[in-house]
Amino acid sequence: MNKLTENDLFGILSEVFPATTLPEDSKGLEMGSFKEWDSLGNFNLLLAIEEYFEIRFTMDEITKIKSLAQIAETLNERDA
Amino acid sequence: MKKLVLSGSSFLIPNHKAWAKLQSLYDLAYSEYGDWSGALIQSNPDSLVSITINLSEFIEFDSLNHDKSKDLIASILTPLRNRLSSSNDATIVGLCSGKDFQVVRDAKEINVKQKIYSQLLNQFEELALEFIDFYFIDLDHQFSRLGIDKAFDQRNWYLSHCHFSSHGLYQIAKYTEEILLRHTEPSYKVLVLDCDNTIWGGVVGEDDVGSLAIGQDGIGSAFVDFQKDLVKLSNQGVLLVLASKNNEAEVWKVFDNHPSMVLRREHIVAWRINWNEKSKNIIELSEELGLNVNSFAFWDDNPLEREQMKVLLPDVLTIDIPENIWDWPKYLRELHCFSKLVSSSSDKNKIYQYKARAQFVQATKNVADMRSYLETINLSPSASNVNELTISRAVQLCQKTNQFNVRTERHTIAKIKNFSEDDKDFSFMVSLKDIYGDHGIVGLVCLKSIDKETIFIDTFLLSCRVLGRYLESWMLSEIIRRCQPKGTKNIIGEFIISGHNAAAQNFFEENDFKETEIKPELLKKFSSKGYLIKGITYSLQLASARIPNMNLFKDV
Repeated sequence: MNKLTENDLFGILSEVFPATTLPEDSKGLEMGSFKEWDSLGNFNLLLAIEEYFEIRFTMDEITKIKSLAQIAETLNERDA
Repeated sequence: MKKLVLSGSSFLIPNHKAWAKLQSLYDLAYSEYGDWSGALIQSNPDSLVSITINLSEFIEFDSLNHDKSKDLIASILTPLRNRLSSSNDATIVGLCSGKDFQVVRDAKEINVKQKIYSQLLNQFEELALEFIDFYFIDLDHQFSRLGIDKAFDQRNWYLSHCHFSSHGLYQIAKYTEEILLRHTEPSYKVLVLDCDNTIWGGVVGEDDVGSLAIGQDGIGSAFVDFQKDLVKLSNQGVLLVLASKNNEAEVWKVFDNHPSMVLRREHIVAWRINWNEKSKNIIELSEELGLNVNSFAFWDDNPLEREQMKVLLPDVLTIDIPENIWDWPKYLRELHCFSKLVSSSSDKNKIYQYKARAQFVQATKNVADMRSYLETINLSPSASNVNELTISRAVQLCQKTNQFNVRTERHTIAKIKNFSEDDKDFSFMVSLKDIYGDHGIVGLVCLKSIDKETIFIDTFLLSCRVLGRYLESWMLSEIIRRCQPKGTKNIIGEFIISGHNAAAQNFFEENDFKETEIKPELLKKFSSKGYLIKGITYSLQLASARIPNMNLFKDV
């Protein structure tokens, strides 16, 4: 299976953060990039990722993952 | 948009996708984490409030003795009661025990959380009877359907103080949404049924009556169970009607002759058994019953008929029924569309009343002069003050009556009680009998005294079942009869357009009222009584009033 990239997560991102106009290129986005993506926003994003990809993050992952790049990386590791 | 305050003993993860649907329907406000009692006490009385309480977050259950558990229950009920006695809109409490499962320990005693949980549910049930806008959700029970473990997530608790999993939050959001929907929208009143392969297995006309599948064995018993549940619905006041493509005589032959039929002719309020388009038949049935098609639900085994109904009459609820008949009885029992939040004792008689209405409409089709016809059907109205026994019917009428309703005020029990407290004669209900039967309580009037000489018609509504009989004129004469001895000189009415109440639009003018502007001085008195006049106002001078149509009524 092809590797997931940050841009593949654009759809989920726009669903979790409906009030934000997201840049076309999601690359480099992380917690703090915009107002909605605060720590609660981060938790909601990870829960939405869990639901969409039918996976479950560990507590450790949830406390550490704070960027799209890390999300994509973790998902790719899971897939491998 | 109506404000909905969400709160709980758990953190409910604001902006979680689970809340998206509620967020699109309401102005959603999340209260501070854990401050559910504040949400109950401080929320605006006009807001909706939904709180979720997880007992395991309350107290160390191991150290619980009798006094402490009493305190715990009181600490939940006190703020709740506080809110209920001052609020004007819905309050929902979802309760879960957060109990753990230990079959060996539980083999000797009932879990202490379970005990407190049951006590609380009993208290909630009492409150729900006392306060019409209070609803509770037994979350342990509802969660159990898909598995109670799935609803919780210990990881989320340690990460964010939310005991629920995403799945659990979705469930809570869904329950809340369904209850609030029924809080504002009336339930469906009519269930339209097909015959062949729907209420029995097989096709009449092709199969002998005897070889139809209705009976004790195999699939025939599923049809019998389905019929039993239909009869239950009918007893709850849902109107069963038939729309089937058959020869009419053959259908009644099954009803009359098949020994296993549970559904009888008397359960069927109206029918169209012919080869016409079913949507056309439903439109005719809706006119015959005096009910809008948007109160009709449609159950048919034929997917083509269902697709056609969805396209031609999208206002009818076409039920997506399970493929297998053995799933039907349970599916029917679990349908939300017929469940009511308020039920009153007169629901049981509804079927006879709608049948009477259908006969009345059929008879008037052939009548040239409506008024002289009405003189012959012994219209016998009567009025009675609203009392403890009839107040739930009064609230139900307020909530459900759309067509003949001059101001469409959706009063609660407390509001209606207020009118009788001012003067016991100022809120009354109207019943009607005629040769077609006893129609039960069909009208409600609530009056407010504005000053010594002026009475305002706060509520004047009439069930659509009895429209066309000029009963509104008699109700007005009853108002006058009650007001005259108190020195009233002038009755003021207001018509507020709701979009559904065109039937009442001409009521005032047809009954001797004159359109009038209210003088500023009187307007001040109105606002001191809590009325901001926004509709068209009419007045009737008692001294010169001439109420029409009174010759139609027999004095009771």
